[in-house]
Amino acid sequence: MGLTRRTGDRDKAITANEPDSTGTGEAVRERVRDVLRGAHLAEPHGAAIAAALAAPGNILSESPDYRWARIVWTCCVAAGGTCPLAVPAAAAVEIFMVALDLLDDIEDAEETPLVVALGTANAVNVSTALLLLAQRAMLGGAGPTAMALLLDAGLRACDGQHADLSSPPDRPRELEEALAVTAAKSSPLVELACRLGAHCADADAELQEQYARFGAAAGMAAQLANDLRAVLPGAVGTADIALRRPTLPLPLVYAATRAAAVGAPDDAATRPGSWDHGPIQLTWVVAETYRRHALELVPQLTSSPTSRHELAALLCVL
Amino acid sequence: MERQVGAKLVPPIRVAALAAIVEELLAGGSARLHSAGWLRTHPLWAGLSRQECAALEALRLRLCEGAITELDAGVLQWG
Repeated sequence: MGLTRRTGDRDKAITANEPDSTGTGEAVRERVRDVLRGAHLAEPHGAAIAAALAAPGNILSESPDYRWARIVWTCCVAAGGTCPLAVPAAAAVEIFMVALDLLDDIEDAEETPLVVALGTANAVNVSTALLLLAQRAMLGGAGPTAMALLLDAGLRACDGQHADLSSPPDRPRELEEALAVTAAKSSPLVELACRLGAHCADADAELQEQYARFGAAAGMAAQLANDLRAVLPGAVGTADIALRRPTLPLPLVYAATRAAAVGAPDDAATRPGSWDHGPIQLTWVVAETYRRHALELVPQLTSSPTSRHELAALLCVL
Repeated sequence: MERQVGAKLVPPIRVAALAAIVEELLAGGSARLHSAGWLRTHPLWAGLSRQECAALEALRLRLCEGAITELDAGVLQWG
């Protein structure tokens, strides 16, 4: 769902593992461990949940990327707070995203090592427990308002996922529709992480909204970059996942549109040959447009030059 | 409060117009890519946002330097 850590067409989105000089990442990890211990789960259920949290890149793995947590604490500091203020919400968001990752794997019928080890039924159960753990972590650590933000963003992301999964596979697509589905699936979660950061800093509603806008634009740029990577020459495996989706991502919809216009065949075998004749370039332009929207919002989010740099660095562009 | 399918905070993008311009830009070959003024002469250019225009110009410059690569996608990636 949206930008996830390990899944199919989105797995390459989260490869950056910048050093965490503040130590906040380790504090988030410890908070996640506390939440897990505090749930007093029976074995082997607890071990299965720990395994999900320890999957490569995830918050309890040997090399966590802190991806979602970093957004929360960066936005918290930029909005006038401190890193420790963001830790409870950041931990909850990390747990939440692991749950969504796992559900994505199941929905995409991906045989990841974790799903294979657990089996589909238990993978669904572990994901359910992770969703509940995330809510427990948020309610207990960041409060009911933060909890409400998490739930609302999750529901909006589910709206988008449902629209994607239930779309008839043989219906012609429009570019606008492809972009709308991308927006519905991807932007709520990054919006959430950014808004939560500002909320943890006790920013007013107007500033929180600005952070959410930054997240929405940044999330779109990131998702389209993932879609782009799936069809670039040399992409391994990811395009197959994208092609299985009922609603195709932007580059593939554009390829289909162009093929239809000239009466050319458009299928998994012929489509890659057309990717460098518009689909890649269009997707790059749209992603770049969103990236520029996000960057232009940065000066409105904070007056701190350091925080401006760190917000922009979330986009990995400077 | 009613939730809406879609993302209300995502800036609107004129994707069909961008697609039309990109298609014509590519169809014009190297000469068009290296023409600094061609984009601004396109009939759809005036209806684009500042960000869309800047992104198109960035694409043109990127393509002048070569194809879009994995590195270019990496530059856009989150995180």
